[in-house]
Amino acid sequence: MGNLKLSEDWWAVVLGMVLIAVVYLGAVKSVPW
Amino acid sequence: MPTLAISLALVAGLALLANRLAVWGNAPFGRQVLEYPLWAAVLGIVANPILRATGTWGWVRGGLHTELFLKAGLVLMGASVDIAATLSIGAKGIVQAVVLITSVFFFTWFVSRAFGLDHTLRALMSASVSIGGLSAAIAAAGSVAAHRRQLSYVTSLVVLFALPLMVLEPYAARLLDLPPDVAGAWMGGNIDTTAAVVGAAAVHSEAAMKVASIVKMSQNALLGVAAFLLALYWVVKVERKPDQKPSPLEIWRRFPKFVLGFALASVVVSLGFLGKQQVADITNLRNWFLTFAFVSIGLEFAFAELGRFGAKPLLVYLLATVFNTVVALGVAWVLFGGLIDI
Repeated sequence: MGNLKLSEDWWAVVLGMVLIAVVYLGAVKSVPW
Repeated sequence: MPTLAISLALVAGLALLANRLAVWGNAPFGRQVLEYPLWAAVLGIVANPILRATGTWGWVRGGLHTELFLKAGLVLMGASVDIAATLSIGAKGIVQAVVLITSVFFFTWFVSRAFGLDHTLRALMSASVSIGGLSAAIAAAGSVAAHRRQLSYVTSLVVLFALPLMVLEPYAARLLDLPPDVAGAWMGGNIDTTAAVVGAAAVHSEAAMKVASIVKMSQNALLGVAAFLLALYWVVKVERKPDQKPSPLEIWRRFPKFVLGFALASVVVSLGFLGKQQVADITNLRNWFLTFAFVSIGLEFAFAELGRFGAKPLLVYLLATVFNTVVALGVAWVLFGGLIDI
């Protein structure tokens, strides 16, 4: 279970940073809310 | 795989509905009735028994990655807080966390002994109410070799108490006219599960949300230290097997790595890489991921677990939560209300 938590943490970092990169590179022009 | 797609579609659909209800639902009243975190949690809680009653809950559980959604949302939040603010709030957050973890852990530990609860259940409850939430309960369960049933019970207890606080605490903070920093620090120090901390603070204000998240992450960061000390106490004092001492590597193993992602995003925005519109878009993405987490927490909640160990643990958890609420307000006021400058 501990290992699962660890990998989920790292996945969150990867996902978050990829999304920031996508916005930075202009691949997504605007995100509605 | 198809069930995962169905599950994610359901989470996304409910999140979209929560987002729309937060806008449409308020229109007839001319003011905010329920904010999006509350709509999302309510929709999850309502859909949960319907799915269970129709035997379809098993299909959707695969997509309920509450922790992943929440942590990705928090990494994205890093892009809206500059690193100087992160470090300043984080330093106070660490001090607050040390005071709260110590006082609340021992309060719960001794109250639960007075109620005659089992040793391992006491350790689990003390860790989850003091350090906070599911990851603390999981870490403590590892440290004291708890039963799986006790862990799933405490996990449900955490959510049972966190959801009402997510509604009550932001309103109490407004009634008490607390500044956003104090309100955020109070919620971050008191509410047990990170999702509910972020939800409650989002209901209060954007400023409270940032402080609450950083304070809660400071608390999460101490989880490894607390799990290590608990494991050490357990093998030496309770089981009396001093030759099986835990490794200090446990501290790093339990360290919540997503906190590093928050700090990295915070550095990126501080270096000026992101424009105003880009930060606004990332904030919207953050809101979507947090909404997925709030929907999932409602969908995951296991009502049936709560009756498992009778009324005593519920009463202990209630007393511990009340104690935590009062002490956290005092500490937040001292540290974030300008009485002490760190």
